[in-house]
Amino acid sequence: MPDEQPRQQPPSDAGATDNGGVGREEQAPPVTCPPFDPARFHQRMTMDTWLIAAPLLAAFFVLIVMELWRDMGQAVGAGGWLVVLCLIGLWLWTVVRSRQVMLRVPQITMLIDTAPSSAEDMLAAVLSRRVMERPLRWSLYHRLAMLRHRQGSMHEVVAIGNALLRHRIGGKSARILADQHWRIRITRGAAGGSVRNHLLLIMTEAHLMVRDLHGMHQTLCELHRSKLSLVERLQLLALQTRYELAAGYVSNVLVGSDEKVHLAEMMPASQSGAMHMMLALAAQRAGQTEFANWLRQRARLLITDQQLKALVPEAAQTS
Amino acid sequence: MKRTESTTSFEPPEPQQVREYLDAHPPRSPSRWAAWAPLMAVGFVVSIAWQIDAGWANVLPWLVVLGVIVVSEMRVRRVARLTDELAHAQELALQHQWLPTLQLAWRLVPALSGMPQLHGRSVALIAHVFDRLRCYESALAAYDFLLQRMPAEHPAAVHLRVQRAITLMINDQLVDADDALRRLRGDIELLGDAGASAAYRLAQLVQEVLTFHYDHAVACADELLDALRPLGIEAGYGHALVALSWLNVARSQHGADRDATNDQSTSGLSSTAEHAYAQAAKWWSTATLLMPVSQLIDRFAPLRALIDDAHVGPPTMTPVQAQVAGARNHALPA
Repeated sequence: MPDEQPRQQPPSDAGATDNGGVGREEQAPPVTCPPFDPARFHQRMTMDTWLIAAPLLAAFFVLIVMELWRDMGQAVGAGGWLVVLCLIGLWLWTVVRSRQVMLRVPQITMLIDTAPSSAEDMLAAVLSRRVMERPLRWSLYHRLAMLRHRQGSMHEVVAIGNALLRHRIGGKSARILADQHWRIRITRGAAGGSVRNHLLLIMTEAHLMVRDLHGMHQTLCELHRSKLSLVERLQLLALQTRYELAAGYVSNVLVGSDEKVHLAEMMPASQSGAMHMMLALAAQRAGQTEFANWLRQRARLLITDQQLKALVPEAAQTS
Repeated sequence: MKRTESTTSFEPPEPQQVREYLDAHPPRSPSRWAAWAPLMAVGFVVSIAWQIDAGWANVLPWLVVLGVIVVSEMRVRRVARLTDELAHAQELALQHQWLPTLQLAWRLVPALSGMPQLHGRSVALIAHVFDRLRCYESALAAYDFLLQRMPAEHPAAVHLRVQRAITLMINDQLVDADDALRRLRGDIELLGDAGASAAYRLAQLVQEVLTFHYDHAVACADELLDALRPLGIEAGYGHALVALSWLNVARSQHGADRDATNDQSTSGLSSTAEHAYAQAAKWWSTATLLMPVSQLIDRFAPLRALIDDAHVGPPTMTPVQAQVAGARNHALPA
């Protein structure tokens, strides 16, 4: 099977700017990840499962053969043990290589916001490796989805998200943790789920951006079934309000408006302003002019017109 | 310091207690020895199994591998639990539930010693809650503990230094605060973070108001709307401080007018004083549009002057505003 070779990226001003301050990337030629291919992704995930476990299974098998050999009265030389040690060494080598990649995940996450082209460069390099632990590959593709979301390639975000959700690492509520020693682990449990929830949230926004209200409804339903943290609930509220406005469910937007205003106050300034403006828009459409004016006045103290246009274009048009 | 909240009595720790507690549980770097121990154990047992020609020796490496996996899994679960608890504490703080936040963050500090980043977050949370509970000395002790262990120009450190400067001012340590703000100026410009700049601008406003430089505070009032915006709802504090500054400008102008006319009985306002009162009313209106009056006064007591002044007064609430924020705009603190 051919390897997923990173593509050379034509030099661009944006890339040069993004690389600013990241010395190592300035020297390396810029590369991009190949377009996402779900079939290849599933193939890779299956291969990872078997190739990581294969040396250990083989060592176990050799040990059993050695034991049988000994039972038959034959002498077992150092050769058998050497094979076992080599197999364990091979397993350790793959694990250590995975750990090396894991060490780079936090850096990639940070670069997605600050220097997307550098993040893409690093992702292209690590995703081209043949064997790594499955949870790690899963988390790297999650970072790729984040990167594409940042770059506005919403169709690809949806494709990656759908593929990742088919591989539920660690059960329904997969969660990747950064550990000081072993760097990253995926745990199960009701308290987890932040990576999956994050994935669903960016997929919801991606659906909204490509005007796929049906897909958005599905991811919103999935989010409602998940256990969410307060910050995730705030993001869900903002996305659901945008969905309801886009779908014309104005009365739904105004259900529990007191609570929604209270939650909006916990959001960062610009999101809070956008949320106020969306509520104002719904109130205006529902004929609650006074409430709409109050919300709009607050929104103007929280968000600029430019920010509003970028965050919620439909609310900006009527503000 | 003793506070009573509903039915529970709460006595926050003294600054000395905070220092002793944090010093007893400092952040520690993860041990490299601990990281490599499992691999070394596996290597050691495999070499023993190689030497000994017995049936149990074949099983030994597998038992050790199993043990390593179990221990590793337990450690990961512990980290997951602690991370969740800290996230819960942060959520409580976001909801202004100060006492539960403090209790949880305080309890987590020893357990998070081995995880410096999480440890720092928990101490920052403790400092923030002490600040909001008006235990300023304790808050400063926690801020100092954190800042001693961070590079001064680190983005998180810059945010903490701004908060610390505000706490110093509210605690009447104006000279120290002035020094802290002076040192911050360059780092704020270098950081170029809108949130940090807004917090710094708020700190400057607090300084101007507490040192009675009201003219300075109102001089750049027009830029403040944009400058304070990244603070979100908390920009209301800045708006209220500008309103207070305008109020004091108006009062001094009114006094000067009376002196000039030598008529103490006159109640008429000069156009300058009238403008200043109107500005005070406008900024107070935007402040209370964002935040309840009680919350504003609770943080900055001098703002009470705005309620007592007949020219400004609390803005008249629209029925809708009363409906939405009525429950939160409750009685003023005693």
